[in-house]
Amino acid sequence: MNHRVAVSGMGCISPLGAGTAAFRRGREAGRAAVEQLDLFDVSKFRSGMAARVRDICRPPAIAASLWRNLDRCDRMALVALEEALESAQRPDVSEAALCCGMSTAGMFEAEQRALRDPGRGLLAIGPRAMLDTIVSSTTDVVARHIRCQGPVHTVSTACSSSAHAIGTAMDLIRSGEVDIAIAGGADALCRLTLAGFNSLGVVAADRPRPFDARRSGMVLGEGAAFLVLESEDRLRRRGLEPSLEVCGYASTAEAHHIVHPLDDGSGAERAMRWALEDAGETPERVDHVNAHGTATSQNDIMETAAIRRLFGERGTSVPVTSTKSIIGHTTGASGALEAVASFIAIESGFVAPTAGYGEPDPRCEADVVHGEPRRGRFDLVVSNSFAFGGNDVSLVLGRWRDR
Amino acid sequence: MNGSAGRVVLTGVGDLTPLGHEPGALQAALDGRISGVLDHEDFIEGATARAGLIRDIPAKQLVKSPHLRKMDRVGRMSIVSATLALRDAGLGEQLPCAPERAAIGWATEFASLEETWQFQERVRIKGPRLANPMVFPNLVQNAVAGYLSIIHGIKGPSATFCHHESCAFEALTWAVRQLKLGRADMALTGVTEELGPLLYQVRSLFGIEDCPGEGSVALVLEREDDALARGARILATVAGEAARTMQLPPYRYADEEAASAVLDVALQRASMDRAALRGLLGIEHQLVDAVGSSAVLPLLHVAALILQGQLPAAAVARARGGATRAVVLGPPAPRE
Repeated sequence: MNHRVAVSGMGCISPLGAGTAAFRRGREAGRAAVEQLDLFDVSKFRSGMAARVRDICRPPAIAASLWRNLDRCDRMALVALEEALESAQRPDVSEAALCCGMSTAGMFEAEQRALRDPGRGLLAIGPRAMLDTIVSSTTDVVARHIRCQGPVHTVSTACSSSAHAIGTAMDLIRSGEVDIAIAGGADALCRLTLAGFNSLGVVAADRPRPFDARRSGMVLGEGAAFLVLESEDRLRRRGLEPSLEVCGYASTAEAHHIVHPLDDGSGAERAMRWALEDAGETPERVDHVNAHGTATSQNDIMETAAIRRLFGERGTSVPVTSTKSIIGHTTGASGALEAVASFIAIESGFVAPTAGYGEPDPRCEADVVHGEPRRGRFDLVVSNSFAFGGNDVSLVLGRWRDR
Repeated sequence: MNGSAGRVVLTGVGDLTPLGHEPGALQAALDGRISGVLDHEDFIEGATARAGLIRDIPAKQLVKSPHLRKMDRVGRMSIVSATLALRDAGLGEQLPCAPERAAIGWATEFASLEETWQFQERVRIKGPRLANPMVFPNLVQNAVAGYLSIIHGIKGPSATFCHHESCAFEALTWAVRQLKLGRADMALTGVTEELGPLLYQVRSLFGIEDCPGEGSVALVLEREDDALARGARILATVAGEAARTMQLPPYRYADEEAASAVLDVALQRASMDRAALRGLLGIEHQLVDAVGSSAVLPLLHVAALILQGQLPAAAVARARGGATRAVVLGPPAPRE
């Protein structure tokens, strides 16, 4: 059995605000939500630039007593989840699978507690807060909220985590193991990731400028996004027509370096090509690439090379954008947020501009959408998420069409 | 994922536990002759710690790679179990397929928890400008999968799973799926858990009574036809699996009845009933006594069942919060 996987709902929260509407508006305007971080003291960091989520408001369905005990990552996850469930018209999720991707979970709150009693590390924060630093903790919160009884997965592959989560959920529905799945991810800013990326010397001093010759690096962000995925049969039984589809998924290992990607883009190209094969599609049918687009020279040069390898002559004319130029690199959440961005491109008929792009890097030859949104009809999108360890994930996301 | 079509088989097992890494150690522990759980005077300052600790990680003896010096304990433990599993599968330096057709599905609950907080402490004391760029990449949960890919030249699908004590079976079922869907011809799956002083003390604060341990276990999976074609020794078939989530508080586990229901689904998918099982849950407690408790146990249970040859058999992983997974192993099919 090979069931098709429809997207019946989606929700997100990002530095552009809560909800897919705010996400769509902010990206359409090409407004980068990057600023000097004030979540914690960044004065000693090489760069304290980041994109943070300002207001995380409790959804009506979440009890205040529960909300008080949640960390920022959990809260963002529940905000995105609630919007996704609402937009899916509140399906029965009691037998749903849950696939979450994340990388740091409640680390920020643990750091806060640890700083109150320096030197004791985790012992200072207590066992309950220690649980929240485990990446599965947000999965637990989501699972308890929706009371799902299907398989639960927590995928943690750094920056590709939630793309993997969506792909894993797609596989579970395709194979008939479940007919509904909640998939997505969440990640919150914390000292650990900011210090880590600073130590690698890849954080921009001002703003991220993907594919631009003036780039000085990436900027971290935070957020959450969830999709409600259903088999076509189930969706139609609910009296709904499918409009969006998760068509394909692939991951690869580069076997090259723990941090640096293969310069020639062959690993990333393989992920995109395999995802298209998995979807039964060809590169010719792809209308847009939502790039990993971190604004590091290592990524940008490699990724545009990969796009040219895959698309051949179309490699410099298929529209490419970087969502991270606007909301920063939301690490574990980025794959899910960029899946939402891709579906917005399909539904709303525009590819958002890459903020900060103005002086093309000749080593990154590609049709980088910038300035104004690119308007048109986009039926099939490839969304890339590449991670430490040479872990490349691509999703193929599309408008529903008869096959 | 289940049933007999495109059957997935196990062709290699490797483990590094407090018992060591020699093939006979696990059997000796199951026979009650040795245990890796000991009292340690040098683990926690000013206290005696009873735990299953690994004192020797023979990564350098098994693998020659410049990447070893960049890896932390979690990475080196993983390299040992994975290399042993590949050798057990008769593979050594050579994969049985193109590198792009080999997959890695790894698991860890806590990953490099100790290194993470040592990194944090250095940042706090010396400032973020002196954070070590060599350490940070090791702190992501999928660092192990990355190193395994580099050292063993694996270029196919790769994912890392972390859902508490069920993570090893998450990774195992993901790896089986990659083979069944034709995305890979061979998969290396495994789990690694490190016990450091910090985790030991946090467990004490939790009031967790069972003795903690650490280790790494790896399995080599292939489709049965491919394994037979290369003349591989088949240890077991992955006959069925099932997963279910009981909604429980964060510290609670599914009870026997609930876990049993998950096992029944896995058996149904394997077209078996309980009467067919020869090896079941009885050795779980022996394993805890032998190596201590950690997320490694479910996969070590699989390794032990294979070692004992008591197939068909089943193992169940119960995670905090209620996620529960069962895996049913069948005997190798008779050769025609």
